[in-house]
Amino acid sequence: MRRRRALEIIGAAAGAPLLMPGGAVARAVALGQRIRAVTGPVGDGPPATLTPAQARTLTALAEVIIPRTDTPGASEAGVTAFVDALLTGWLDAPDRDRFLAGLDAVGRTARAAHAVDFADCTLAQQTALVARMDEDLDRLRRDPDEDERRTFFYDMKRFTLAGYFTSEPGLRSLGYRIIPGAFEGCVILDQYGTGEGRPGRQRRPRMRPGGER
Amino acid sequence: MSLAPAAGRRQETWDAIVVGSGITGGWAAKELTELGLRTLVLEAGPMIVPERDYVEHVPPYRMPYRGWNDRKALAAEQPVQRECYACDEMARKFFVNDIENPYTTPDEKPFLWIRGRQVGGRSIMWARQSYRLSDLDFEANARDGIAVDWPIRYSDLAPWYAHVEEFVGISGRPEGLPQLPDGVLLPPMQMTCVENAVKEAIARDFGTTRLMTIGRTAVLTRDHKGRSACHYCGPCHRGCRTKSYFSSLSATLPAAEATGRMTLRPDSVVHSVIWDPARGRVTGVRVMDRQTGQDLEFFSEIVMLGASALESTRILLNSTSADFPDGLANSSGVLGRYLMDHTMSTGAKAKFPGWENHGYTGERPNGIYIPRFRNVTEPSSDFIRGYGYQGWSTRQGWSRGLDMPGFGAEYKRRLTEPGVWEFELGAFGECLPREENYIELDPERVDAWGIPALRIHCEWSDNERLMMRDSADRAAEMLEAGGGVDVELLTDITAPGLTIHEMGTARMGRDPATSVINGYNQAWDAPNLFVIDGAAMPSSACQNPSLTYMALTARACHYALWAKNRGEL
Repeated sequence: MRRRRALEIIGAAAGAPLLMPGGAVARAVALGQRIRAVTGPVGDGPPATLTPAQARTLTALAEVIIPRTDTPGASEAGVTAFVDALLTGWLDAPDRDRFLAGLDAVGRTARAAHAVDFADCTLAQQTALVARMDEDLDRLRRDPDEDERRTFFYDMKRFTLAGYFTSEPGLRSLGYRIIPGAFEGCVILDQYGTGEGRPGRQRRPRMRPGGER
Repeated sequence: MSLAPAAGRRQETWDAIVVGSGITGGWAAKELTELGLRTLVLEAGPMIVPERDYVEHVPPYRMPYRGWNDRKALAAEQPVQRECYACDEMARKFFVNDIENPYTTPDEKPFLWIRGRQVGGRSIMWARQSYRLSDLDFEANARDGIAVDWPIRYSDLAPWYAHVEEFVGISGRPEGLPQLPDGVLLPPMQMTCVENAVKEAIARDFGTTRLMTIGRTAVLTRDHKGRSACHYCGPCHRGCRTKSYFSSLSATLPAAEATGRMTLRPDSVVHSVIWDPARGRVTGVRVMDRQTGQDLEFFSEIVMLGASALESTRILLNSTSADFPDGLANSSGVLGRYLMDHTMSTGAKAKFPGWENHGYTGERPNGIYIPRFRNVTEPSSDFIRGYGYQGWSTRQGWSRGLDMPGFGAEYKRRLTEPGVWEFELGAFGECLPREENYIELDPERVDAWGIPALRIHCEWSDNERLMMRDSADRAAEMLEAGGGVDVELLTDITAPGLTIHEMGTARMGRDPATSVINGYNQAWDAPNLFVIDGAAMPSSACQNPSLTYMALTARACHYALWAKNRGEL
């Protein structure tokens, strides 16, 4: 695990514990190890808020927005679990309900048009449905009288992007390293190509106070 | 380090008591113990153990909300603290619970009081920018005929700046500017390509009066005194296991501990200072144990308050006696008055096309700095004093995808590439000391330990508002000179407090009738009482103030020992 290796590197560099009131630090360090041990990947287990049908629709929808290519897509990156965590503990009730209603509407639209759930549509059918939602969103975005942020697909796109690009594979695709080791201020990108070592990588997501984008 | 027993040794006395373990308390602990004094350091909050508590290397996918914060918990427990950028999903544990630590303001005068209560205080989450003041600042009140004159000049503090810089480790570039004296500096960090371009454009178009340099920051660019050079991971406010940025926890408290003369007692909420009217001296402090609620008293020959500007003054206001019915060391009546903060929210930002194949590696915990030029090299007819800019350039990240139409493989690929360059300049402006900006004890509200809460009265004056407006226009013209497009003026004005440079309220001066402490941070009314934090400031200058607090503290400690040895305390 990259994280484990990073902690080991940092532990070695830091040397002895900073403040040493004998047993107190030993106890504290033991406690710290316990805390770290239980901090596993977030979002394992069944969804807490999404129904199985909603989770299936959401997973398929996210995968159309960020599909698997030469790198993992949204579903493999765990976007469904992230969105479920947002729905469960983060969103206010009206926003949560609006999102779930939007998700159900996608399912109804798919069944009306193709007689199967969205997740069971062909990729071409899914792409057409998403293209229509994205065109609607783009139209609202350019209309000064509209607030596109009040729509389901705005949240869907926002949560998918965040869930993907803060996941381990998503961050890897951005060249994220926990410990870069150096700061080079002005480098020509061509000399690095793509992948882990690429400079100019994106900054870690930094959200405005309160968590809203 | 030895922890003081909670009970049973009530009469134990120390040579000195230091209240607070943050950036000034840590320095007092180091200096006093190294000078041979047995010193008790009292910290209101809990112990912090870096190996357990620091979280700078937790990647986003290990956070329940991926860095979007537990917004419901913030709303319920930290409705004020959440306004600070650093109070994020991982670091919010270093900020106080606003319900346990209330304060009040008049409805029309919001003030954001951002606090950290733990061993290390706010030196864990501070932004680390470190600049010297100059005589332009020390002479400002006298020159303008406002507030009171500083009792010291640059020459008094210069050797103490060097003393603390040599230990702290500050990276930056010497520039030879009279208004921003060079200090003891480690090698500077690099600028980005776009920053270099703007720097050159400023030199070309404004070179006789303005200059851009790399920020001076208390982050190590090479190993220094047993602490490791920075590895550029980014989120310094979550802690630093390699001790690469300066905090009391990483540097001064371990130095104090190494003397064997420091006793650190966390969970010790100081309620008031004990006054002995017969001797005309303070004798110690009253404490409530944060966890047990037990009342305790600790005694010493010297008491130094470094609890943060407003907390130190709150302790004095709450230390009443027949001699001092309005608060200890308040015979002047100015205790609590002349509260200041820096302005922070104005400036400009722009996009910089043409640099798409240039990037940077790593996360620089620093930005660029444009030292004050207003009323130095460029006079203003609208306002007195001035501002300095901090700035930074970055490339847009994946979140720009929300503003782009599209989805699918090509959309995904484009978002893995960095977006357009953006460069933002934000002005930090001097705030004038005004009697109307003050704190008092709220007559009704108390905190979770029954100690009276503060009522804070503070608002910007016209001088700050005019300065903020000017700073947006001047920033825009520099970004345009450097090739910036889509220049956006940043003119929103945030409430005072959010810059977290709150200072004043127990100011130093030359006259006991108009100030609380003298030029050695020593209370006029109690020779063995010192106020060593930002409360001491009679004016705010526009530079980030922590370096000055540290220098003042070190100087006060050496003076205290000298005075003690002369029998004057």
